[in-house]
Amino acid sequence: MTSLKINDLLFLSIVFLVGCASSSYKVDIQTEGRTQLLVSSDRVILECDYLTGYTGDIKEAHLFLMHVLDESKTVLTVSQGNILGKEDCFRRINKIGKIMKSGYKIFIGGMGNLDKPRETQQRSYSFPGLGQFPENGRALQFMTVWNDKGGCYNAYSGDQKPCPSDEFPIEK
Amino acid sequence: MAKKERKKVVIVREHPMHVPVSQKNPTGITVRDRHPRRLKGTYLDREEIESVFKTYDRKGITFPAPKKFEYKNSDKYDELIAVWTDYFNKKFEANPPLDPDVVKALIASESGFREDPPENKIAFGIAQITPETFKALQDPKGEVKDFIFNNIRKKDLKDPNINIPMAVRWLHRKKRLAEGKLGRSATAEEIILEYKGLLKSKSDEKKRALKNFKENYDKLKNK
Repeated sequence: MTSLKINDLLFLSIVFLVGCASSSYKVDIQTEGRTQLLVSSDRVILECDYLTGYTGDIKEAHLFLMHVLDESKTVLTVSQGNILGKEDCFRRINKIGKIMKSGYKIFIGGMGNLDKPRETQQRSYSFPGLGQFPENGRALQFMTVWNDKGGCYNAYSGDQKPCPSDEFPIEK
Repeated sequence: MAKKERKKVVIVREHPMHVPVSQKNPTGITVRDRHPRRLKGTYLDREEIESVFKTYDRKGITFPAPKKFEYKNSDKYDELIAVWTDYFNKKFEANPPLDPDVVKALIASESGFREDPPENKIAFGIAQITPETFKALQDPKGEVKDFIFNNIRKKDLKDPNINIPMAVRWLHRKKRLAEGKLGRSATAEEIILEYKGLLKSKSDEKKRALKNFKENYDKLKNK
């Protein structure tokens, strides 16, 4: 009986600790033109958005987007600057998805900053286990995502080493 | 009176030509048949690009705004952008002229100023020129036949000295197309929407696709 109670208590503590640690968002560091976020993976949704009405010469043109739930329960967007083909876009989802799953700390590096006042938009996103939240009109240009286990992906050079490099990480 | 169209191509008469000595041509000379040749000033090849950039009169040309971005190489290509934007503005008598900040903001959003971003497999170089655009820019019968590029190889697109003039020429084409569709001068955003193939799109995504360019452009313009 005593052992059962101890086990229950241990289980509850673990749930509590994991629960507390599993969802986090922080602007790790921000300069005038660069932003580094430190988030947990449950606060990130990856999306390849098909571009309807596109008349250019990329077959099945897509936009790559990362939606991030911030501390005010609104959603900011980190997006790839150039239009991608379907294959290129879904390759990103695959590779970044693995970085999200394998790491405990997820860093997202984007150009731009988050100084603009939040403006709630009509579009909203559903984060499993957290709820549905609206876009806030804030945006960054996607550059790099990396985790504490050495996983890394750059918007332009993929997982080529060194990664992160150049603009990220921002020196503290 | 209708404007007289200037000749862009001449037919070169049959002439002898030196070739490597071979069994077929033991004398090292062959006869080349009549063939068309584009006149100078209606095309750019690698040598001409190099020569124009080297000798271009930089007096009074407009440079893109410096020190506005934190990309690693964001100001490295300002001179290339300034020279080629001015060159094509004058070549096409563009009114209003294309703003060099449009070119710089486009490059920021397309490649983050990487000369050869390898992760996107379907577009090349600093301005992410697609194979179809590359083909169109060199097609003497295509949509930019009034001023084309000649003998540029796909691997040359990794070189910003080649990629930037090609992108600026293509932007001029897109500017003209956007103005035709709108029936008025096109804004920076409209030119880029046409460049990205989204000017007439009614979808919500076009705003999202333009977002990075707009943020970069506003930054250059201190907005």
